[in-house]
Amino acid sequence: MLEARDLHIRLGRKPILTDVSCTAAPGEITVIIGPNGSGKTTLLRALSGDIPYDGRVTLDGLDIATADPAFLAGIRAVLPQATPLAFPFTVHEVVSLGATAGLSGADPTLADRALAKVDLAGYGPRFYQELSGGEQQRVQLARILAQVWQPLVDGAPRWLLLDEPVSSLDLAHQILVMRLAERFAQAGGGVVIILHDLNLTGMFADQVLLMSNGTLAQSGTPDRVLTDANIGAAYGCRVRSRKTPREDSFFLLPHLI
Amino acid sequence: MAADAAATLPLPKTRDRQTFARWMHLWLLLLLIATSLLSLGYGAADASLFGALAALMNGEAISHIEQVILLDVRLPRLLLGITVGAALAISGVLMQGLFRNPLADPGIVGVSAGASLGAIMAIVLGPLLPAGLLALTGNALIALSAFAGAWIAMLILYRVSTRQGRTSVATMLLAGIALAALTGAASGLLIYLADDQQLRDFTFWSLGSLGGTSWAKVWITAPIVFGAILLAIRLAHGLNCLALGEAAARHLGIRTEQLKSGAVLLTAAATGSAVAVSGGIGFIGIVVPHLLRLGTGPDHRPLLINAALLGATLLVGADIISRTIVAPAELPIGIVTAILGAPVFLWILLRRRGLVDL
Amino acid sequence: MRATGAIATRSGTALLATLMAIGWPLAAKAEPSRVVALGGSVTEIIYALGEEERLIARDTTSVYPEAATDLPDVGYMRALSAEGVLSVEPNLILAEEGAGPPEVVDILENARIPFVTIPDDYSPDGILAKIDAVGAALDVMEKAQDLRTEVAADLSSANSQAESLANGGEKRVLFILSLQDGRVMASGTNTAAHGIIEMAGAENAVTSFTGYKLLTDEALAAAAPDAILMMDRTGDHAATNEDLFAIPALSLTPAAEAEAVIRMNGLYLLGFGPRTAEAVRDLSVALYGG
Repeated sequence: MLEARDLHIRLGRKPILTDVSCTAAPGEITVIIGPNGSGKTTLLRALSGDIPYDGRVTLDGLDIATADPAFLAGIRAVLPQATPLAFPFTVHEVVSLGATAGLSGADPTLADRALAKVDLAGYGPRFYQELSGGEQQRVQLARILAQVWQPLVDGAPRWLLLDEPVSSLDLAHQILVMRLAERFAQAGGGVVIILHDLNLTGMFADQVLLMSNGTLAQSGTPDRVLTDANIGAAYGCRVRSRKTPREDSFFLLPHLI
Repeated sequence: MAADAAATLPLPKTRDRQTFARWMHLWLLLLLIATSLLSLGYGAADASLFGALAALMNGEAISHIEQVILLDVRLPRLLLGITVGAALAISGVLMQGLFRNPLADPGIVGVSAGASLGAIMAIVLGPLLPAGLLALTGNALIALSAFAGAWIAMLILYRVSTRQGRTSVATMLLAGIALAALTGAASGLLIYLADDQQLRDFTFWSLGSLGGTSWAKVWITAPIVFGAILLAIRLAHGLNCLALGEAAARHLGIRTEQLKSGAVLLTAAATGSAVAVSGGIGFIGIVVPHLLRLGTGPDHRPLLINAALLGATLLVGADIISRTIVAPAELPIGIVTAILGAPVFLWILLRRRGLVDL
Repeated sequence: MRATGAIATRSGTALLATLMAIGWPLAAKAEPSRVVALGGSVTEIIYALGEEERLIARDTTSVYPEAATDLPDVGYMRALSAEGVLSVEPNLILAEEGAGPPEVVDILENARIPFVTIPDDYSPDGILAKIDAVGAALDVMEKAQDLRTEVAADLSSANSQAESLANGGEKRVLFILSLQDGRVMASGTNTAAHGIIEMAGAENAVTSFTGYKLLTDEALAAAAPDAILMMDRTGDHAATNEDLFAIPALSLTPAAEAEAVIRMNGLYLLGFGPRTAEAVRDLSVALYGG
């Protein structure tokens, strides 16, 4: 269980996050949504211990503020929004960094298998910097998958914290990545994802956290949170969900069939 | 489409690169040994190592002068050259890893500027010290003062850029520029006060030389530098992770604060002692890691070992040039490394423009 | 530290000695036939003594007489190379004060090569003492005695000639070592320049510090020199009269009004060797007119 209690975060005198308490359960995908600047990334960075906060964040009972980073790295992997790379590492070397950080590090084939999972088989020898943005994003995903390769170890869940993992991906790869997260959760792991795409959210989320103005506006199942009223209030625009648009207007709503 | 491109591009094999890096240890070690033998066997005096060894094996005595040249001039100078070259090269690797920038060097954390200020303080203000203290430090006053200057500068910088236990690398970079300006001003003030003789001494110091080598300098410097190298190798995995950014490195289980302070302290120890005994020797710290990364990749573990070996080799080689090209006088070695290193540095800049945004 | 160095040096030597367990015959006390001279005045004195046959190398500052420049140059005397000096296989090193670095001197001494430091004092007596010291080191005391008498007489005649030329009206002379970005590196007291100015019956215009230092504009104006003395140089350090008087503080001095700028060869003027009496004469004539 990933649990946050009474989180407050200020940047200077400006409150960024006010009184947020939430939980994410293993075996589920928890999706954080909300408009730009609503505090999604700040919440995820607090949950992963990247920024100082008032309040308390625990991962399976362990206070992450005081936990040993090496121990945390064994049970939890974090995908940041963008990952610049300073030196000309190859794709294989980048993914191997994840493999060695995790508990399954001894397996030398892990990096290649993780790359195959994100549809980058054979990319190992290429230079990371030469890849496209979407490919780089998937390499980073492979890196953190290699870090927490098994979703459940001796009954204890592993965790994936993903900040907009599909932002640069094409349609097919968005679905691929969400499927990976889904399988990870079904196998007993915990997944927390920030998404912009409400359609993907509705398709994959077990729990939705709707952020608005630095507060947690709504939380619960997609059916409960993703209502026209809630979305309209949080995003400040009128929407209509679960209805087919007028017949002469174009729309494409990727959906699993 | 990307997959097609992947199939047609000639790809470096990752495992080949790792194997190559390990083979490189051996090649560079052999190169260092060869250069060392050359350095011992070749110099302004025609005392030859091989001649002396042959004489010894035949049970003949070698002359006292030959003995002094081999054992008290060339041997300590070779060992100091190896030490200083290795120190400068691994400091370059550490700083580039820490600042995640292939052009960083120890100058960034104020070490060089601090050492320089320490040296000129000793040269200009040293004669004002009480005679007893002077007698205690003797020949080593400039070296000790340069070493202290390097450490003080680095500690100030570290204090400035650390808040609530977290060190901001960006602040360190900017504060380093400010500190370099400040120590530059203080050096300038001392230069203004200095007389002609002191200015010449400082000029020769800042050009760098292994000319004043003594066994004492070797005994003091070598343990510090080789200790620093061994500890630096333990930071290699952390520096690899740091290439992904601080947050990512922490999520990979790295204690980033310890990593950063470790890299800075080891750099100050290695560079501080190198600069203290040899003065300003440039370009080794930038050129060596870069050349190695081109061949064996950025993985810091082999990189640190190879950099120590190649740095030592290049400095010993540069020293051979420095002490023979205008024999029986010698050219300051900093001039030799700059003449050889600056064009390579420019070539790096031109070549890198495409691959990595500097 | 010096002691540690010596111990460490010895331990290096001991290493080989142990390895081979062979003793070396002590270097025989040979007549110093292979001499390295460090410092222009030492070289000049050796030539004046007629002992140049024994000279095998010199430092960068030894450029007189012309023949000396044919000898191998072991570099700047404050930044010597141990092996460079040893490579010419000297059995005597004669050095002006300040030769170094000290580590190199330690090694040379450890190599059992006599290293004699010749005292430097910028006065007539200092020159005579140098001649004595060089004579003693080369073991040619008689020749040295002759040279000493000759030089002493020459110096005192040059001095009295200068005094009479000055005739009580001592001129203030500013010695400029170099110009750096429009600032003047001038001589204070306790320098060769100060010594020669005094000997030439004039007064050093700057006495507030010792050695050579950069002067501020105000100190320059306050010095109010009647004449400016410089070394004649070429290249970077050369300064024309226009360069000099383009400096505002200098353009207001009496020296600028009279355009009194004297340029003399550096080693000749500041060497404090056998030619100094001649230099004193030249300088006093340049200052006060023949």
